[in-house]
Amino acid sequence: MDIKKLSDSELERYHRQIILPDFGEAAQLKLKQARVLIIGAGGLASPILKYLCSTGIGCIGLMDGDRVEESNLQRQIMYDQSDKGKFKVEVSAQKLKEQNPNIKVDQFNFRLTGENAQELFQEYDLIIDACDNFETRYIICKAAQKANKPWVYASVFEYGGQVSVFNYKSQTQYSDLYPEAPEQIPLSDGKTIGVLPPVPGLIGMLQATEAIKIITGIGKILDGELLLYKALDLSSRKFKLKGEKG
Amino acid sequence: MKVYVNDESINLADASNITQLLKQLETAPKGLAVAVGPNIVPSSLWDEYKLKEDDQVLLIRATQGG
Repeated sequence: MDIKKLSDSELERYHRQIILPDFGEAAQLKLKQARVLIIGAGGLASPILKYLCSTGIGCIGLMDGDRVEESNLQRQIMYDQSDKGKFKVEVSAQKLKEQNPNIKVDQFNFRLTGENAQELFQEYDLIIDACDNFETRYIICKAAQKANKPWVYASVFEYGGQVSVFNYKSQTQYSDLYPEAPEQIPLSDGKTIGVLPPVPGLIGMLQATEAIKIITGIGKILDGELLLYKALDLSSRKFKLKGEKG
Repeated sequence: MKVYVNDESINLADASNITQLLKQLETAPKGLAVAVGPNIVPSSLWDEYKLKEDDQVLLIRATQGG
């Protein structure tokens, strides 16, 4: 496949976005040439994967060591009943290839560590945090700075979520927002986190949108700002967050 | 003086800083971001950031779900 131009079938497939103001074939070509790494293949990643794939991101790296479990299925809409017990990364790669044969999926069937992050991040233009734990977020924060890559952060809890873009132009970092993880991790029933299924869906779509904007250079990025979304009163607010250099 | 914390009115000694507010509320500072109005105040400034009457403070918890 020629990565330097769009084929006739690609021009047809992506027509409705190519005709957008300020978009055009140039933006589509940037998407085709982009390499995006997604850490985590769960509730946030499900819509991120589907939309980045449909939009025509050339290469998606997907990292997660887990298999599909019954309790994932209420919110992780990438997976179906018949996928139980299979590796999420393998199932996702197969479904994405079917959704859009133009894209390439790199499969990483293991967890992100301080050791493997650095080298892996070098291979991609942008990192998307769709993980489910603090430890991994601090690894992403550190490795993204070292590799000089922007990353799109989000996390969800119960009926709400938060989103930001870190290590981008303002050089704001996750560690500026939260220098340390909480000592007591908030849990809904003492064991695990409750979450309303569409919440990670919506927040993941915001992440996918920011990723597309960063790659194409269109619009204003959620850089140096934190967005909070609350489902129960359908509100969202943005807060300014200055980086050390900001 | 009176300030609002997550939309609830709180009485606080005049010119209190954010560290003093968190102490009064018995709120653990780890995994917490604090916004005053539209701005998040970095934790490195919590000791010197003096709150004012009617300030709208929002305590934002780090969450990890994904």
